[in-house]
Amino acid sequence: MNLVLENLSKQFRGTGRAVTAVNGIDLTAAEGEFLVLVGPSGCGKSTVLNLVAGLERPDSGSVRCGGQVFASAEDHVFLPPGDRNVAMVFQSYALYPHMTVFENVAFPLRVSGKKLADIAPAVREAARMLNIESILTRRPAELSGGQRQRVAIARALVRRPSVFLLDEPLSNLDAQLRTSTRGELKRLQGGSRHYHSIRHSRPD
Amino acid sequence: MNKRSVAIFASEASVLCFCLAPFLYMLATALSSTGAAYLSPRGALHPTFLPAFLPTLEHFRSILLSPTLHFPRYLLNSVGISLLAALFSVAVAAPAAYALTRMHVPGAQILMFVVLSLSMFPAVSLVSSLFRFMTRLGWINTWQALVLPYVAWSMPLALWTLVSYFQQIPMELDRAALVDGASRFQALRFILLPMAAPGVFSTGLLAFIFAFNEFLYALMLTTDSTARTMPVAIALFEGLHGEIPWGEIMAAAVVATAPVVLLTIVFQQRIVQGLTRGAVKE
Repeated sequence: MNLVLENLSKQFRGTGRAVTAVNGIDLTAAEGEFLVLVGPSGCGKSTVLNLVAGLERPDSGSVRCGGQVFASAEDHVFLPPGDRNVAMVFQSYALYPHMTVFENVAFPLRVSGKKLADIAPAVREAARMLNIESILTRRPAELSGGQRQRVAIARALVRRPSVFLLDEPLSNLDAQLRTSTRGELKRLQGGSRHYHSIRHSRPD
Repeated sequence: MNKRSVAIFASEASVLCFCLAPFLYMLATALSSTGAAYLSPRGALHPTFLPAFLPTLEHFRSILLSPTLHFPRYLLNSVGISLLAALFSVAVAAPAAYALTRMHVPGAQILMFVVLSLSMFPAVSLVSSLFRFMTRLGWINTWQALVLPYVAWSMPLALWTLVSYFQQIPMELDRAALVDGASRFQALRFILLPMAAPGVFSTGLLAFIFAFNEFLYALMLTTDSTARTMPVAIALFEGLHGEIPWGEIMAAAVVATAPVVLLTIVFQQRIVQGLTRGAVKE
């Protein structure tokens, strides 16, 4: 299951002028590969992730994963994000503030229509992997930055995605947490071979 | 207490008295016995506030129990029609507000202003064509004859309120929901609506209050107790021999005010601030 981007372009049309965020990018990520996009602010890293996740439509080119076409501007194919089995950890974590940690992690399973009896064990498994079992009943506002990030990763992992996207996963953490999280991401990736991991971080 | 806070307190108290005096008056008249109200030196409109004032529930008993007044039926019409109007308003405005804030709708700004300008039509300019429309539909004197115009009328307000609430919710939250596999309706139902709950409740409440108090359409489009609402019923209240039954009118007004007051108190507790705290990094 390779992730293949071909001649991928995306423009944003504001009032008046168009800005080209991604211009004809070709990229292949092999199964199990940990790929990092590096570049200055505003160079289009987040747009690439959004194109893979299905939050943006490409203006040209295609995104394919395994045999599946995620999006192709030429063939007018566009799979909505929910049909791609892609998980994404946002830079701001984007935890749902009105839900507990348990409900946050359970959300992807809940909207896919799984029964509660199947959801709870999967959530506990993800919580165990990220060591957040003790905070499952809390709400995001009561968590530290590091804990929030673990919850966001658990929510992404819980439904075993085929592509795992991390948008600036370390930028909101202090130096010590950054080192330990970096190690942890490697450990999580090693544990399950079928994740593509695209991550980008600022050169810092 | 310094001079400043005394002045503030005094002005607050005077505003409060000014606003609440009519309600107090209403309540006092409703509770005065017919005899006491008429005996007071300046006539029926003046309930007695003297120590001799003996509160009585005779007017409440009369409006609630008298079968010829159809009062419980009017109350049911009012509450039912207003609830339906509020529900439909929110149900239509919420997906519209989602689309306007989350998707690329061409001409979204223009659409918003057209919707707003529609609400500036004087109600009376529409009533005659609305009457003919409802007659053709055969809807005169039915609940839907009132629900439909009320939904149309409170829609601009509902849309504008919900759009402003949805705009405050970080875009990344429902984008995360979409990546998590939610459909757009699920993102609306599980993320946006619960987070905008204070806005949703106040929008529904305003639509309810508008429909509950509306007079003109209710007067024109209903003929009897099948669909007539409280404001019209109170206005058309008449005593047996043509006298004006102030006690009953005021008792009816008290009962009609109660649902709105109760709703406001209940919903106010649900208007919680700072719901978005902790959603994204500070």
